[in-house]
Amino acid sequence: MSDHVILEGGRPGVARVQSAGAAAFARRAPFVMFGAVLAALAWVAAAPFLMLVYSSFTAEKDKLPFETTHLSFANYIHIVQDAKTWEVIGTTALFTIGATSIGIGIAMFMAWLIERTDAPCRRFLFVATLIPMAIPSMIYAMAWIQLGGPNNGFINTSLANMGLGFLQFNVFSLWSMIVIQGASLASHAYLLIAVAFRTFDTSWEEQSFICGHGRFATLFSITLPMLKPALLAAALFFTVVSMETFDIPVTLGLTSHVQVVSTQIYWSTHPESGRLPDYGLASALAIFLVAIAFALIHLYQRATRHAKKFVTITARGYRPRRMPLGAWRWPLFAAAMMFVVAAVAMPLFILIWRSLLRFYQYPSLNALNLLNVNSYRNIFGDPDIPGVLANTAKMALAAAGATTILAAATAWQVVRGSIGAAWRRRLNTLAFFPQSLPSVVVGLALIFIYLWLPVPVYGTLWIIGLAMVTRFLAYSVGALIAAQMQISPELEEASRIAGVGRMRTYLQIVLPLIFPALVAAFLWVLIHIVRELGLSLMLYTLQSQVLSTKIWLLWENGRVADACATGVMTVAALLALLALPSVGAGLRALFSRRARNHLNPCETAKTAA
Amino acid sequence: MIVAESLVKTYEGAKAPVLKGVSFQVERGEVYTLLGPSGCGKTTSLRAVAGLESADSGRILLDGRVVFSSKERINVPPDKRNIGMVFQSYAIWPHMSVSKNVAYPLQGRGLSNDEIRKRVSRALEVVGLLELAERPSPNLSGGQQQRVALARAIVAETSVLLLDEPLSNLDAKLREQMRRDLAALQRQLGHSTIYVTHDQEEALALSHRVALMRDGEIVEEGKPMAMYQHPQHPFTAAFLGAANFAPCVIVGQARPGDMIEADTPFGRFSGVARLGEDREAKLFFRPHMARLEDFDAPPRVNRGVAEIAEYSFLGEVLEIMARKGDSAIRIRTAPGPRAAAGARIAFGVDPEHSAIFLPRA
Ligand SMILES: Nc1ncnc2c1ncn2[C@@H]1O[C@H](COP(=O)(O)OP(=O)(O)OP(=O)(O)O)[C@@H](O)[C@H]1O
Ligand SMILES: [Mg+2]
Repeated sequence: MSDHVILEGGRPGVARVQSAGAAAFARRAPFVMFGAVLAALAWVAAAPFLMLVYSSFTAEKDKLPFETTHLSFANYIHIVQDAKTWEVIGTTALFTIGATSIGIGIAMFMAWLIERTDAPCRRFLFVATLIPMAIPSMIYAMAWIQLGGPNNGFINTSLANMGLGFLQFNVFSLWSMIVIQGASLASHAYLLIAVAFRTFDTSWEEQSFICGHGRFATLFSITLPMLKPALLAAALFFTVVSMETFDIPVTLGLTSHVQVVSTQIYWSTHPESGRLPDYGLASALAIFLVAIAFALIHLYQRATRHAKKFVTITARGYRPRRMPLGAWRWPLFAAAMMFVVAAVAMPLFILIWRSLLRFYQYPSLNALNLLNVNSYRNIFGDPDIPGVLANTAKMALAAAGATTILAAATAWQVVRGSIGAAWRRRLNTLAFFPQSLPSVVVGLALIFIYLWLPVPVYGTLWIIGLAMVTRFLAYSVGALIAAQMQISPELEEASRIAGVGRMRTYLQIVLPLIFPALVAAFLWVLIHIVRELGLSLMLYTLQSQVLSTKIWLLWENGRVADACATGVMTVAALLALLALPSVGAGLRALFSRRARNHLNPCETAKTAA
Repeated sequence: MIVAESLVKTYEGAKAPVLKGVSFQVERGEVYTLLGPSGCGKTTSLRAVAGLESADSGRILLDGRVVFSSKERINVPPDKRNIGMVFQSYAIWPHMSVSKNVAYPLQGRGLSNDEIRKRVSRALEVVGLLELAERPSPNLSGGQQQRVALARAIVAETSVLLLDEPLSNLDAKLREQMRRDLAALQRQLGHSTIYVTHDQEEALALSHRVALMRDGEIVEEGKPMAMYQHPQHPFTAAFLGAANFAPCVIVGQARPGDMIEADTPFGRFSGVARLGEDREAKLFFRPHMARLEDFDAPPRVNRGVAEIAEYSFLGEVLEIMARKGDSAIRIRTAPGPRAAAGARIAFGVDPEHSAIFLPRA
């Protein structure tokens, strides 16, 4: 149709002539856009993995992958033969299983109590359970060191004072690490699990009551088995999270040399002085970690597909009936409060307390008059701080923005794109792939890529930002695909019929409708970028310090009070972000069913009619 | 005017085509209805005309302009086809008020704000929603949403209007009223309209012409009354209303179009021969076209006898189920006194109200 001229309409005033070129573009544009998204995803999601595979076959001790030429299995043989590796893998397995069980257990209990029973002060418990989301894991671990240090940790000293010395624990042991990781997982796990509890159809339980079963018999014979698929999915997901977690093991294991695979990768590339970095070993370990994470994520995706079929809501706009706890009301509340006090209140208290003292003092009334704000003064006086804050803000905003934009474009292509279904599925798989790339692994891969490529990215903020995009892409794509699917395709089609092109339809119809989800995804990524230590630690230089690495350095240099003060301010800032109504609304929009009714006109029409 | 020529479409991943060569022509000012059971390809045909789906082969012209042609490799995107459409779900944008929704198709057409306001008011007035103009659109009832969708489809004064089951989400009463409003609107604005529905009553009441679809093909096309009374195809006979099909044996030779005679278990009947689909011949007539006759009158052609099996009372009519051997027919009469079950009755059917579908060749 090279010389084809299209005459619009039969009506004066709106006749438009369209050039042949524009019409051809209209047909090619979808492919161009799809290609752009595919290329971007390949760059942030596939390239790091491919680089690691390559380097696991080439890199050697003190040699980067492209400094050698021959390919060999030496690195794999090394990790298989080395007893130390097996020990680390054993530790990792124990750590992962233990922490996941504890985290899921606590989350299940809290979710059941808050969502399904008439326990007192549910709103308070809800907020308290979610507060740890705002505490970066590294800072959480630091707080626990203050609480459980073997000599003068607050809890240990208190136990000794009460004559309960036999209960003392060593915060640096593997067992403590497991419990602390479990406690810090609980709030994330709560968000996932609470949805299943909230959307549970109570008539199943009521049927069981009618059949003469009691409250707890029903809980164990009906409720939990019905929720099993959802709980199993959550367990798989958090197994991956625990397995690749870095911040808590590195902070606690620094002293005791308890190592898991992720810290082992870090220490092989950042060895103590006098030792050589072993990039080959790190790469092979990374591939090992990715393989297991990938398998688990695969299982998780299958499980969630199943879970959706299993747990369903039947009636529209139903009010879940809460289970009366009767005499158990206060004992169960007390149990929940134990978690809140131990896992939320005490760490926060000790963090604030420690930040107000140059040298540690056991908290007491006498010690009160020693409190001062010197460490806060130190921090504000620190010449590095303005740069660090600017770096953090620039990097976090840019990376969160880029992640959200890329995720929104991916979500649209996957859900609505005009390219064939097979290619859209491939895009989807690619976007979710980074879920199985742990922080340190992404860090390692990006070091290789940007040392190798002749672009001035290595050692700058850019590389940290790029790593963050890779790290958090899958999460935001997941959230935005869910949001995009809630928008009926006919809303977009109606706009095309109204004479509006593809791009403007996206801007005028789709964007306003997914905006709450976009904001929520953006803030969620922003919060996690500020929290993230592993990636920044792998990639920072003195010019590209960010908040998490700054706190780490303060801590490592023994400026504990200053580290705690910075931690307190970080937590305060993150809490403020989390408390933004748009985050709450966004989270709710992602999880609630009413949003779907709102955005799906067919349903609305049926309800209204 | 809308012209579709031999549209063929197979969805990605599907084995059988959804459209197997659909052709039709809608004249200026005509309401043309695509009618058919669920899944027969009505929506797909409509979406192909709109450009929301592209056919694998075929040609589509809107007002003489080729908007799709697989041969010439033309596929004008939906936003350049200049049409109005009402979706089955209405697709009212929830983030816009009623008037914003309606004004949307006017943007980018170089109209002044005044002109846009005037046209939006006019469109809203036509559908009777002027007083709700500033309402946020999620706060509308189903019937109101339907009117907004309609206003949005007509506001740009395009000559082509596509309606996909616009009444299916409404309750029975509202549906009847909207059906009348729609017919009036159509007369007033004179669009070339394609109306998609699976409700035969709606199709008969609203359309100038009806096309009955089955499995991606148009089985029969014609004026509503003619199609109802004189179906050319057994599927039309069955789909458009209650129908009797009595097995029969044809007397002598028969070519489609001839007036012929056939023996049924009930008696001998005459009717126009039509091409059929089954292995055996079938006599067709509608239940309300049979009249009860005096049982003792002498036998003749077009008169049958049977035994009453049961009654069902349908409100306006009484339906008699009558048997003879293995065959059963239904007869509808005005409610009145009933004979006992097992009583023998005689009924007559005029040849112009029946058809004889020949066995499949
Ligand atoms: N996007 C699609 N991908 C694959 N198959 C589809 C798609 N859309 C429709 N179909 C199939 O094509 C066939 C025809 O669908 P279509 O929507 O045109 O039917 P319809 O006549 O409008 O039915 P209804 O009265 O139920 O709306 C159906 O079998 C349907 O399952
Ligand atoms: Mg349809």
